[in-house]
Amino acid sequence: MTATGRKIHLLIGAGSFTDAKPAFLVAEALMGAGIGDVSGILVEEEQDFEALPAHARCVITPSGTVCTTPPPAERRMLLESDAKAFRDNLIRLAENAPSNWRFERQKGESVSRLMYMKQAWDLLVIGHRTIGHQTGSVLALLSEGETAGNVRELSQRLSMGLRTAVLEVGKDLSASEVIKTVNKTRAAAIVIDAASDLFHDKAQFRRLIEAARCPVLVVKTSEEEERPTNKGGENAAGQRNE
Amino acid sequence: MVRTDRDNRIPYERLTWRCDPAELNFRTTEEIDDSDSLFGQDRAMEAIRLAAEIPQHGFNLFVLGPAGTRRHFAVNEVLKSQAISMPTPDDWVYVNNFEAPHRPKALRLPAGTAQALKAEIDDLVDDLAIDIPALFESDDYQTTRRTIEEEYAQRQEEEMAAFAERVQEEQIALIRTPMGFMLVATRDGEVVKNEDFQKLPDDEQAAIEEKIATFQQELSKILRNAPKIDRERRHRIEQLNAELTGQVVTARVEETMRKFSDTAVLQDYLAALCKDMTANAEMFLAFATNTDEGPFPDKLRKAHRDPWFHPYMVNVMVAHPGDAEHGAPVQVEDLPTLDRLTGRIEHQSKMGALVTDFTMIKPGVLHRANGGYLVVDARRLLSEPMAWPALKQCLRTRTITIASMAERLSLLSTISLEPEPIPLETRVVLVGDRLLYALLVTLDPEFGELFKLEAEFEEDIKMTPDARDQFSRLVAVTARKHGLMPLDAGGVARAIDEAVRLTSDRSKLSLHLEAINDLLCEADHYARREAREYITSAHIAKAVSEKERRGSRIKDRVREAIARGTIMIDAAGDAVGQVNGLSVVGLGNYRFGRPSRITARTRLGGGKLVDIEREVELGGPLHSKGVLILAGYLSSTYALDMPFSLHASLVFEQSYGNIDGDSASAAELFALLSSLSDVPIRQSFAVTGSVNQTGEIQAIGGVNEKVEGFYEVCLDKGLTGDQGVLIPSSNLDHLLLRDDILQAVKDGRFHVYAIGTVNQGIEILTGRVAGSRRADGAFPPGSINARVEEKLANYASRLKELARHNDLSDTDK
Repeated sequence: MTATGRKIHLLIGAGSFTDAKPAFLVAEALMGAGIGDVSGILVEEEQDFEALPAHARCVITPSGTVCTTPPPAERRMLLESDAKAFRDNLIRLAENAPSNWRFERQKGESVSRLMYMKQAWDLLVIGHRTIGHQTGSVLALLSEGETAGNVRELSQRLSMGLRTAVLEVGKDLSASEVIKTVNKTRAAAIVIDAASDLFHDKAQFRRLIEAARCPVLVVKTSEEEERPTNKGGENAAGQRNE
Repeated sequence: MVRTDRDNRIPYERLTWRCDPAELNFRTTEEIDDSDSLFGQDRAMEAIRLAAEIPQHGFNLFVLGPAGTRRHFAVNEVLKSQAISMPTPDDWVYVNNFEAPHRPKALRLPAGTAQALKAEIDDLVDDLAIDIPALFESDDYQTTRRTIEEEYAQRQEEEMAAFAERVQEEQIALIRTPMGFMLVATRDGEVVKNEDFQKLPDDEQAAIEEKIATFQQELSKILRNAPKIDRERRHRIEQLNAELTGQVVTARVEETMRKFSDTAVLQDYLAALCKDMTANAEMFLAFATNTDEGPFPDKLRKAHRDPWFHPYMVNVMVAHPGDAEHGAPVQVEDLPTLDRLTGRIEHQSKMGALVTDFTMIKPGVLHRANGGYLVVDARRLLSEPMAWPALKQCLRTRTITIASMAERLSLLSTISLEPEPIPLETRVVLVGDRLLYALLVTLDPEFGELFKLEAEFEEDIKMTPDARDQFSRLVAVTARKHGLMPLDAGGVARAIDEAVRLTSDRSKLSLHLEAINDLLCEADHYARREAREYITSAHIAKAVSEKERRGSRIKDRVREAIARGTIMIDAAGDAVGQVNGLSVVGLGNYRFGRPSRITARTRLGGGKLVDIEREVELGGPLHSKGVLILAGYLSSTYALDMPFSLHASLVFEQSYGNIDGDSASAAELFALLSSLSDVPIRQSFAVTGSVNQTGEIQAIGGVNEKVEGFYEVCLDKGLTGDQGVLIPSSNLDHLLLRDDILQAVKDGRFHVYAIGTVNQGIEILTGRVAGSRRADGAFPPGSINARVEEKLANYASRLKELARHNDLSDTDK
């Protein structure tokens, strides 16, 4: 519950199920912290692979194999499969809590844009695949101000759930230094405050996510109106939902 | 000269035999001490002692003898007295074989160690179930582990971070797609598309292509390296876990090793236990995480009771107290089934399957008797399926092998064990009867090798003053042991009389001590009912008569039938070819004599003697033999130079059951002689005895019951003073008649005659001279034998005539 007593809305966003998986671990660790609604958005990044030069149309799989980009039909199937897995995991998460759930598929450039969309969320977990099975610390990106307390509290909760330690970064560092530190640190998750002035633009935030190589938990402290959600996964009109 | 019946009449003084209480040198059994109560079995006792003492293999013992001779008592007494002086055998336990769990190991431990070891291992498991989780929760461990985790995580991360930085510097974007990573060139933060790329100079295109190809390979290498780094990290953590748990487990196990430092065999086992516990430390952690619920706090829960820790348990098969005074075990198994003998492996149903482990091995009596003695009833053992082969196998191999019946018969296919056989050092004593012993000796070739000793219990002992004294002591001890009243000398004397009567031989004393015991118990009951201080002869006599009365229902019915004439028995008058025979009817322990009318009919024939009982298959082989002997006697005694031209038939009148034995052969011969001589036989006599081909009367069994049987018939019909029974003179020592018959003999109202030959018998029965061959070869005219020979000669002549007549007829034809 929030300070005002209303239910907390957790949003999980990812560009693929591979990215979403570590985000679900973070979400599980947060369940029980007053979370009443869980939403999931699979952002299908608009990337025209056919428009890329031939040499770039290669994919390096998580196991390290270099192969050519699959044809559009196969990519479509992969996306459908990812969406199903995302949705199933979301339902399982909501059932265990229990809480309301909602799943959407959106087309977009990047998952990081969720941060700036008018979405009614309190906590946003942006998924990012991890490399290897090692677990790092929870990286708490602190900034000056009253919100540092929230970030600390959530980082502690997350570290207990993920059975790891908390590493605080950022108080006296510039944005680029923070990104550099994040890039070099193995983290299980990164916690930042959305209201923090640490990141001003989309590109910087995008760089942070890329440097993180782990899920990023964004904590929103300013209250917004909740979007209506339906128990059992019924969809709201006007969205490309499932 | 005709023999009178007085010549063979047995005088009253010869008939009587009673133990005189005055000859017993005590007044009551209270004066007798409690020394050795078993007597008359010296030979058997020596054999039992030998079996108990001899250490060599194979000297197992078979105790044979009739029931009621205190075989079990004697065996137990001897074995217990020997066992107490023997060392207490070692303990045996089964423990897990960590290398081959289906073959549990048997450990031999000094007496008194097994239970201590079990308790120690239980404690060890309980302690480690607390210590190991505590170790993993400790700050030291957590810090060390985290350091390792971070070290490897950072190693992985540094590679990736360096790669990401280089990529960024080279204006290459790392794009995540559902399939994996893509590397594309960028210009001003935007991806360079193909149409823009084609507009670039060739050398720039080539440079970009080369860079991207290089980065692709580099990223591929980093990603391929990730599992390797992860594997290294895992091994480091496992190594850390093993080191730390190893220290805890080793420290605790070493404590146990020190406690049992004098038991060398345990050291190896404990080392293997330590190794396995270290390798499976996660079980202790898992147990700790599963013990959140329950009424007791974690610290009080006993981990050793959890099936997870069964592999570390100690299954005690045999445990003895450690003190030296305990001695060797003497085990008696009353239900010697296969399982109870060799032990069993129990199974538990889990998810529909039968599973087992070494903790479910249960010991058998062979385990408990190991190092000592085992006493088993042979008949029970042989009647239990597979028990005898299993026992023989154990004795032959000198090991106890546990194999269920289903396993032996290959009936069941389920998870089972092959426990390491335990060496067997047990002396087995089988207690059985003579028939079983004979069958085993004859039919089982292994029996003689495995049971080299036999102890045969006597049924009776020669009556001597010493035997009489020992018997008196036995009576005294039995009375005390069973809380009976003491006996006065008269009571003991009467008990001795009964012990003598049980043997049917006045020169013997019965060793069927259980029967005497029963008699004393019943007499005690009557004495208490009369509120007497001692059991007297009257009480013994009452116990005897009441016992007889209880069993005499059939006898009374037969006696009634004879008295009413339903069964025709004459006790007076004369009849040709008819004599009173005597048989014994037995039912359980009760036997009584039954008179039967035996008749013989003779005519001219072809030398055939027809035994009607045999013809209708009611006569047994011994009876048939007796009848055939008669034919031999007749043909070898009379009309020696003529063909034996007789057709005779013999029958037990009103006999509807099987008849066996040859004790009526003398009576049958007398009936035949009467028929052939046409001389009537006095029906006031009954005859018993067997006869041989030379005409001698031979001893028979059950003489007392037979005499008493005819006496009762005469009593019912009225004693005339002429009635009596002819018995073989060789049975004189077997006569132990009841008091009422002795009184009748003394009063001259009934008589017993002893005969040695056929001639003596026929003279008494007919009152005529039997006759012996004179110098001219002929019997004296008018004698019984002369008349028989004359009849047979006539038959032969007549047969000859008939044969000639038939020949002439054939010629005419």
